[in-house]
Amino acid sequence: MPLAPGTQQTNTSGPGQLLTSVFMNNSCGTAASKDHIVSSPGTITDSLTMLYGTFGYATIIEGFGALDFQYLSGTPSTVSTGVGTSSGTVSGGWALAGYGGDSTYTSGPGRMLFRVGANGDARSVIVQSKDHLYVSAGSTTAWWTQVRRTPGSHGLCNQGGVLSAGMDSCVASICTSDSYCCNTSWDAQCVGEVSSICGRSCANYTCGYSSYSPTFWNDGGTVQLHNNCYNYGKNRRTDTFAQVGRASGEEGGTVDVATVTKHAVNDGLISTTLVQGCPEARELIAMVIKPTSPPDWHWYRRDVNNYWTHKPGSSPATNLDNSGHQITSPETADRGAYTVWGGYFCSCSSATQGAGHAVIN
Amino acid sequence: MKITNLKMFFGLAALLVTMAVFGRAEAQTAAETWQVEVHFFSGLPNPVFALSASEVADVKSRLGTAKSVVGASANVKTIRPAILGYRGLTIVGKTSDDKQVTGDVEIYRGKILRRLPGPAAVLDDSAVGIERFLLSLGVAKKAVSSETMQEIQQVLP
Repeated sequence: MPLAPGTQQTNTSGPGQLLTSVFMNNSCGTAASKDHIVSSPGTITDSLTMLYGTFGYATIIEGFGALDFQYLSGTPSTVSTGVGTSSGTVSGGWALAGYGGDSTYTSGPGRMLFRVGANGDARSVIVQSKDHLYVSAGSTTAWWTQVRRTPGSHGLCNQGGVLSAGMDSCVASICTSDSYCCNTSWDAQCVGEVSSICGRSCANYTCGYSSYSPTFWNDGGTVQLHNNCYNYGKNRRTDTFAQVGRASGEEGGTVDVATVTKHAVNDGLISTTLVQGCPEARELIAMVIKPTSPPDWHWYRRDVNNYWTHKPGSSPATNLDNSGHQITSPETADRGAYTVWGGYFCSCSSATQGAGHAVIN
Repeated sequence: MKITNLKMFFGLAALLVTMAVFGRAEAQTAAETWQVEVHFFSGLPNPVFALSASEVADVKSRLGTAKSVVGASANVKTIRPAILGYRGLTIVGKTSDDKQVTGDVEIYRGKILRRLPGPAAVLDDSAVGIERFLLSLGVAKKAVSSETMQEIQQVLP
C-alpha cells in the first residue's frame, strides 16, 4: 500500500512535546515525540497520505498503470552533540512522493528534528536534528518514499501486455475467470470484462484514433473560433482556446521546446519518438515552435489514415501545409516560421470529433 | 424667382438629409463596439483591440468607398488562408447591448470580404488601405508588437 507521511501533531498540557520521528517504512507509518528537560505528558497523532486506492488494496491508475513504490533511508548520521545531517537521493526513473526523518539519542535529554524536506529540488531529501541546551548524542536518518509506473503496466481499459493480479482487485477478479489476461495478454476481451466482471466503466479511458472531419471544427462560429491547434491536436473541444499547461496550473513562461514539453507532459501527454510510436491505442501528435519574436507553438495530429492535419489558431482545420501540400510528415511539411521541431507525443484521442480524453483548458 | 426658390428647397432638403444621415450615423457609432483581431498566432491568443467611435466611422467610410473586385464572389466562407503565420484581420461590430451584429469584415493582403455593413461584397483594399490602417492602429494601441508588425509587413502587398 503506497503511503507517504501526512500530518503529525503533538498535544500536551505542559511546556511541549516535540517531534523526533516522522517516516514511512514498509507501508508502516511511524511518528514519535518527546518532552524536553521538563516533563510534559501528552499524545501524538499520525495521519498518513495514501497515494492511491482503497486502503489495503493496490489500484491501477487509468491512463497511467500500476504504481511501484519504495521506502528508502539515507545513511544515519551520528554525532556526540550539535547538528546531525542525513540526506538521500531519489533513484533514477523514480519520483519523490514523500519524505520523513528520524532522530534518536543515546545520551542526554534528547535530540529534536528541525529540518525535514526536499533539498533544493525534488530529487534529494535532507533531514537534520540537534540537541538543545544540554549535550545529547544520537543519530539522524533521512527517509523518503519514491514511486514509478510499474514497467509494462497500463490502464485496465487499454489493451497491452499482461497485468498482475496483485496490481488491482479488478485484475485479480478478471484473471480468476479469464487467466489469459494475466498469462498471455490483456486483450479486448479483458478490457470488456472490466465492465462485465468489475462493474467499472471504461468510457472515459478508451483511446481511439481521430479522422479528418473538418466540418466539425470549421463551423465559422464557436467551435472554429474558440478552439486552437492544441484543442485540435488533442481532439478535445473546450471552447477556451486551450493553452498548454493551463489545466495543470503551469500556463505561460518561456516559449521554447523544453518549457512547452514540460507543460504538455503535465497535461498528460507522453513524450515519444516516431519509431517508438504510441501504446494503448494513443494517437501520435507533434509540436513545433516559432522561435522568432514573437514566439508561438503549434500542434499537428496524425489521423487514422496516417496523414497529418492541423488547425492554425482560430482558422479552419486543414490537411494542407503552408505550400498547399497534403502533410505526410510534420517534420518535412512547410511550416512557415514554425521552424523548430518540438517532438512527438502520445495523446488519448477518440474516434469522435472533439471528444478526446485529454484534460486541457 | 421660381428657379431660386426651387434651388433653395433642394438645398434645404439636401441639408436636412445630410444632417439626418450623419446624425444617425454618429448615434449608431456611439452605440457600437467594433473589435479587430489580428490572426497571427496558432497556439497563443491573437492580438485583439477595440476601435473608438471615430475610428469606426473612419473604417465605415473606407468600406463605403472601396471598389468591388470584379468577378469575385462574396458567397464564400472566408478569404483568409488556413496557414501558419499572418492570416489577415477580422472585424466584428456589435451594438453595445450585444444583441445585433453591425460589422462583419475580413481583410487579407489587399482584399476585403464585407458581410456587414452593407451588402456582402469582396472589395479591393488597395485604394482605401484599411488593412494597413488597422494594423498601425493595433501598434499604436500596443496590441500588436513591433516584431509582429514587421513580420506582417513582409507579406502585405
